[in-house]
Amino acid sequence: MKTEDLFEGFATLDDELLNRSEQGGHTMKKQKNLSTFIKYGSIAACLLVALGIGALLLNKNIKNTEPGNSTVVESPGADYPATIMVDNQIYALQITTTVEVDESNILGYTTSYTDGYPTQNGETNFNRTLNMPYASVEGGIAVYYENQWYLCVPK
Amino acid sequence: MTDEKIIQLFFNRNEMAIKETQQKYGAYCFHIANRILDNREDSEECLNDTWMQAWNSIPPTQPAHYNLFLAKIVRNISFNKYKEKHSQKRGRGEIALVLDELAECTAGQSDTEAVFMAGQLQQTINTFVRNLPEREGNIFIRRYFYADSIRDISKHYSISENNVRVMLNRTRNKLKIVLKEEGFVS
Repeated sequence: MKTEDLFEGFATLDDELLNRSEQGGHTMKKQKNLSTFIKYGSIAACLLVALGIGALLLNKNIKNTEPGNSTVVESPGADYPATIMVDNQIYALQITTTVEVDESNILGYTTSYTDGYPTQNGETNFNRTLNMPYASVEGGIAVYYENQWYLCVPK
Repeated sequence: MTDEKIIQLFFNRNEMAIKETQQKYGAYCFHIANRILDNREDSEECLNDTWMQAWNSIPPTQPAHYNLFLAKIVRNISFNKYKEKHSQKRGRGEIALVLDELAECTAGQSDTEAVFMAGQLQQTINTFVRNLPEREGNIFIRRYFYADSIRDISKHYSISENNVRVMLNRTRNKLKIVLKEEGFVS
């Protein structure tokens, strides 16, 4: 069979098929737009997820306890390590160490907040919310924060 | 003027039918002819032959899709002219590329010429294109019926030229298999 025969073989394609090919471009353009939407939508969704994860990592040590009001600085990544002053001693918060506390050992409640190192008793630099109880425990003190007692060791 | 009214003019043997056809489908048919012939004068000549053939066919023929009816006529006339002019060697332009591509499907020993029957081949091609996914089929038709350029197909369907080439290549390979199975090529 010659190539020309094959080309001529297309001569009697059904009108329905030919018509479809003439109209098809418009339909397919819509499909393209849809796929473009899906493509860029997916990219946008991935970016949002990436941003979310990034924000979570960045704020690993910054948590809101009260909307628009309080922020706790807990980590060495911040300008100052999370600390509290009790009996003129600065204690560093050990965010990974929780302890059991007998309420009878509560020494007092936080009374102030500072952006730097605490300079007065009852002052923290990691939670703007005041009245967090702190208690004496073995190895230092414990501060009650987000429903957990965290160990703070002398700095 | 609507196609129905133009066809009615043919039935009334009113020569306005040709004028109206020229006006409505002149550019459409010229595009098809020129893709094959790549020559303005030859293409215009084919257009005149096309109007004449339409005049001779209607009546009794009553085309359901007048544009496609004309497309088929102009394609056949143009390709016959092309073969006439390029009987010794392949011409140039889009059709040369189209034929080169189709040659891939007819490659191999040609032992079927003796039994080749145009009607059977047309039936095979029709069935083959009908069974293709719609997008693939449409693009295949644009290339091998209308001899549209890769660029034009790419624009028409809003896909990259590379995508068009890949899709056509894939479809040609499928056609080659079908042609082998049906005994058109060995």
